[in-house]
Amino acid sequence: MTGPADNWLGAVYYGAGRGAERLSLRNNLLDAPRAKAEAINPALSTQAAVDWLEHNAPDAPAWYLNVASARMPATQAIWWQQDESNMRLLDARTGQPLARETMGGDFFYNLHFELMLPFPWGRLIAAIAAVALVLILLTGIVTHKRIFADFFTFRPGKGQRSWLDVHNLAGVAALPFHLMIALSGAVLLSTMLLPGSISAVYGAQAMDLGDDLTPAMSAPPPAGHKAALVPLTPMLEEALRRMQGDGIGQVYLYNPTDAASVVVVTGGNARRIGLDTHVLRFEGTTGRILADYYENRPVVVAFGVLYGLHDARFAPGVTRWFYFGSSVLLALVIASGLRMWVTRRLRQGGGAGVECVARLNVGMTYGVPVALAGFMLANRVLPVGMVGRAEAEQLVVLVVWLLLLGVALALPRIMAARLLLVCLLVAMLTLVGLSAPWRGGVAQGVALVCLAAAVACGLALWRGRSGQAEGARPSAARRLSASKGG
Amino acid sequence: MPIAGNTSARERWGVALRAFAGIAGGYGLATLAGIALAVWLPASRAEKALAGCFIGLLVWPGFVMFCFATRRVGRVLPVGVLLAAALAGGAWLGGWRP
Repeated sequence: MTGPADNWLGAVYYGAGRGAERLSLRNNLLDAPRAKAEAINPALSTQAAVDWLEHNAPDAPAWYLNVASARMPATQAIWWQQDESNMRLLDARTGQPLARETMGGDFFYNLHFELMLPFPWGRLIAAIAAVALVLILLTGIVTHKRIFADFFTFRPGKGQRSWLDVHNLAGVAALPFHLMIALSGAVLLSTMLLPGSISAVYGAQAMDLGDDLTPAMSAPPPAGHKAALVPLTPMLEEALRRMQGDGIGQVYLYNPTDAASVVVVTGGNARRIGLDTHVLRFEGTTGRILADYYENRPVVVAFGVLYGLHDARFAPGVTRWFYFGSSVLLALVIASGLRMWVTRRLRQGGGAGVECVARLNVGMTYGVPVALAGFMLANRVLPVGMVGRAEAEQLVVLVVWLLLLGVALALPRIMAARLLLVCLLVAMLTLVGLSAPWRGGVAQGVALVCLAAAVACGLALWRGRSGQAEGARPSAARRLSASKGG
Repeated sequence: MPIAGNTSARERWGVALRAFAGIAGGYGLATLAGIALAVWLPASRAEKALAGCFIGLLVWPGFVMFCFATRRVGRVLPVGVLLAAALAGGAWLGGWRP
């Protein structure tokens, strides 16, 4: 089960590891005014965002807001107009759009389950990859019967055998996390992947499922004549009171400038894992409460908790580092797996097909991180205020990725690997430099991770020069192929 | 585990058959299991539909594993058909009409 399909899965994982930090990254990539936790007032910042939207998107059928927080000191506003989605990040104090137009961390988030493909293809591929990962993990548990012994086995400097040990170690170390993240990822997309039971229950009205899942969040039909929205602040303060320390997560405004306007406020994740557990619904023209909905249907709660575990909005800093470290381990499992698969076949003679896969592996393993680093470099380097800046950032990723894949296909493997490692080393060090002066935990964390990656690249280059690990130990390799371990 | 290069054509066909039965047949079984659970679960419409989706995610990989675990390829088809008939029959009794 290796080759191109797993490469995609690898890309998903790479995106996921960074997507987990999307809120913080967004903050880091934005240069939003750095604010302390107490300086962000969720009610006032949301009111400011709505004031801006009333002047700049009055005809949109709905406004969707992610409330500003210490982690993300700007309100994210999304709305549709003439079948086109718009997103702006609005200053938490003034409500004005931030100057630096960027997808920010949302780029990594979208990449990890939409793969930059049009709906629904990216999500379907991601869903199939998630089920495949569940299958791979389950079969791995069955295959590695000596899972505990494998965990404590590491024989360095023995070529293919060492790669197998690393593969096992990294796979076992965070196995429960990988199962959780794969299964919850599959669950999130399962209504798309396995719609059989939905059509059995709903028939042709499958769209009703959404309203049944979150009844307090359904969109009402517009009345057809205009009416003003009453000030939002009293509603949001009432919501904060009723959420009792959870905080507020999102605010939806349906028919915002219509007589049938509705304001929906969802609870935050300060004290709970599950998403959309507590939802308040207000009448927009009066501020009257229409519903105070608390989710307690077991299956729907299970869905919300799995969603919350996958999204990790609840997670404090340390937990986020564990999420990140665990996904790095899975990236290591994938990379070592790709390498072992190809090495064994090359040793048996290979052929043009195997050589092609081997070169693509080099392009993927080293090229993907360089391309993704390209996004963050573009975010720093492209002129602020440039037209279509957010699209240009993404284009950089695609161009760098394809370019490096081309280079890897054209050059001999070792040469390509060295060249791409140098690219990665330079990209990482540049990122460390550009994120100066490293104020705040997130900037420091990003710089540290980049520095560690740069050191790893340096080590790999240095070891590659001083004796090519595979070639230097033919005896160990022969022993392995004779015993057919693994 | 035999790897590419020293397997017979017969073995390769066996692997292809198991893979096809596991992926395509497993998807069908997952859907049927979801429908059977959805019609029998005493719960609201949303919960029936959602629970059906969840159970499918466990049945699908489970059946793929069975397809590769069983010793003879010939056993895959009868077991799959039997399971499908049982699930479809159960769903039918619960009021499901395709």
